[in-house]
Amino acid sequence: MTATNAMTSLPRAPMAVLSVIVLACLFGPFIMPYTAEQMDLLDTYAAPSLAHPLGTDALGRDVLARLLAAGRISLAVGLAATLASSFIGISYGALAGYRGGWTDQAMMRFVDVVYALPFLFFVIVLMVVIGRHMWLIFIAIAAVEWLTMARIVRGQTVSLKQMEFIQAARALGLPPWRILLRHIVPNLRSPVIVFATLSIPQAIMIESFLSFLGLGVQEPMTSWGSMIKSGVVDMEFAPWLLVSPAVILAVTLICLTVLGDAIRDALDKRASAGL
Amino acid sequence: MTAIVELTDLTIRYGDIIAVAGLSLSLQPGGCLGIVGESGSGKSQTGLALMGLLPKAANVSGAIRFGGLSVSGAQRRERIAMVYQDPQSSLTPHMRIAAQLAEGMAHPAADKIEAALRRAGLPDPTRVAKAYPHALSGGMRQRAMLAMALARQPDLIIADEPTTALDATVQMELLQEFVKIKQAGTAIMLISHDIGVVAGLADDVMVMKSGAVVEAGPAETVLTAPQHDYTRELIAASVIKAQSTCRHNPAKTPRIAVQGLSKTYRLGGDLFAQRRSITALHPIDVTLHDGETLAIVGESGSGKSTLAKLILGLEQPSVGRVTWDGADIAQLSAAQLRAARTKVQPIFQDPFASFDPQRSLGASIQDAIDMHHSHSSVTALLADVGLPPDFAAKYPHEASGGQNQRAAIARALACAPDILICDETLSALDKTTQTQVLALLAKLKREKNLSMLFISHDLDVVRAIADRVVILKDGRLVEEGSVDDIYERSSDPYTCKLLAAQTVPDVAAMRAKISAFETSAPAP
Repeated sequence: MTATNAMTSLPRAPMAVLSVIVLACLFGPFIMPYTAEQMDLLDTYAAPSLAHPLGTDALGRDVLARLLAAGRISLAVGLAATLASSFIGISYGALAGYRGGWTDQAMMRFVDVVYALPFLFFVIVLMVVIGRHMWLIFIAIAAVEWLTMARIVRGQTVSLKQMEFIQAARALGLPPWRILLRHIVPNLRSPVIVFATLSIPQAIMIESFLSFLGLGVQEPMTSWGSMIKSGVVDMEFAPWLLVSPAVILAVTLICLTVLGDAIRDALDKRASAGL
Repeated sequence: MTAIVELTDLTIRYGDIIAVAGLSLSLQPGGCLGIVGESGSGKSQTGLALMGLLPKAANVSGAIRFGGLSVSGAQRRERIAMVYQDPQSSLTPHMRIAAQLAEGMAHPAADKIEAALRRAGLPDPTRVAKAYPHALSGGMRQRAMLAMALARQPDLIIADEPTTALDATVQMELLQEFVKIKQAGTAIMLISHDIGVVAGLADDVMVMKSGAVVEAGPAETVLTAPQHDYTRELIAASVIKAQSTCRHNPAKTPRIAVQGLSKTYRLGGDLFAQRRSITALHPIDVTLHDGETLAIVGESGSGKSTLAKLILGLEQPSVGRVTWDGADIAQLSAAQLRAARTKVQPIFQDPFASFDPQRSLGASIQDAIDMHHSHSSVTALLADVGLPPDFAAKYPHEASGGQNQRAAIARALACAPDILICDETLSALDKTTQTQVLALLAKLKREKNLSMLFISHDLDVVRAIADRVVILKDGRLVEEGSVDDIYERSSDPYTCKLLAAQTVPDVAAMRAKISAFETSAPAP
């Protein structure tokens, strides 16, 4: 109820820009005259022109086509990693908070331990274990993001547990799993939505960072991060290779962050209005 | 004598909304004006106008004269002090009491601060001055607030519900301080919903309703011979009427028995903190017999809510046992306990927190019905508690406190219990609603032959419904007896003190009670 009402009051400009980017990435590749992998070794490093609006790269591939294909990967990583981390974080945090006592202590200390691992070290260890694979990025990002979600959810659950309606549910004899599913989790909605929205740009950011370091998506697949990485090399004589992925990444991140903030404010207002 | 404050035809408008309409009043030095009214009646707006603290959007007309002169709000603020309802949130948590007092004084000095604390009735001002707010009890915090007000030597103190958040005995002690302040020549404007408190302190009473003065005059006249229906309603509602719960001799079959039950909470106890423990309940024996209403009475910190949670099996006792119909609930398996819970149902204090905010009232009641495969319907249950069927679709925040509390009773009845545990069920409701919900509980008890454990701090309410009373203090049982034993023949000093702290809406009686009330030193 609160979440749907909040959606109607979101700022229009970032919503519109984001919709254009997402739609272009989804459907653009179907109508483009070039594919992302189609090379033209006679036309490398072409400056932006009518035939190639954003120019071509070192192998003569169309930058716009690659940008849209890369966007699919970046956005998919952002969404999938957020969904996975939310699912793990909510289940883990709600369980720890609801059980309390020793279970809670043990579960949350484990979170602290994983939190303390340096991120890059963690990714490199993962790479050694499972090799360089697309899945690596999902796992690495989800493994980091769920920790914060679990902490947020656990804190909310502990305070919800004290509420009289939970006590009433226990006194009615409802089994614990049903109290968790029907009474605790639905009431976690606001903080979870806010944190999840804000962690989509976070995940895209981490993916770009990993790809920039060469730890992420591998050729011929590409993401905005890996396009930026290869753009940096030719920055001096073909700046369009760096500018276009950098701009679209920045615009997407800003839009998502502004949206996340707007959702948080909308839900906050509702909360302070007495819900 | 010049009046301290004189308001002539004060009107406060917010756009088209009139918050206060043509209010006139005057207050003499050493006088006390009691303003009575429901929330939204304009009481607090009047106080803010006096302080010159109304928001910019307010359109104020009329004259405010202070000490015979027309002075600005800032100048008035120098001479007026305020005492608020909630001592928890009106003191800054990170500042020591002395520092907070010093802020309001022109020339702060340690001896002046201690003198102010002493005047507010704090027994050990040196220690209190060094303390942080969280280290003080509610009563002591409110006295510290009072000291802050007094430290500025104001001509007028505006006290907005100053004792509402306090226990009855602490309220009496604070009222005694206010009497002394009045005698020392400071004028008091007392805003309260409690007619008894106003009766004890005010010389004049003003009754407000939706921004307008309904009735004003000397306290004696207004309270004994009210001219207006609304005033009569308020006074009538302040007395809880006894409920007939058919006080036949209940059979002596124990339904709930508590033996040697105690609860100790351990605090801290991680790697870095020394483990401390607090005993919320010392070993206690209590029995609820079939068909009776047993009241557990105590002030905050008496352990009565802990006892309720232990009896409901929502917390594990440290020592002792709880039996429902002879079965020790600690020995039952999780599934057996869940099944047994149909017999014993709680109704809690906070009418809004008692329901899942994301679910409609009907859905929550339906949950309870489904849980126990009972044959009742949401509509029938709502009808039982006097709510129309369309309430099923409402969410908790769309209903009033009293309506939510009725719905909570309906949910408790959904699994056809024999025993109701009412934990401060009426405390969050206003007096009129209290009487109605109390009548409903009494009716249901009669019709469905329920036994009831009624936990409350309010002796008036308890007298109206209970058969037997247990009095708790600091986690220990003080006295146990029939209602008549406790209310008519008790010799226990604490019970007598509790009884003496009950407010009555009668000027002479309330004043006599205040002056006769025996103050004990506030506990640290």
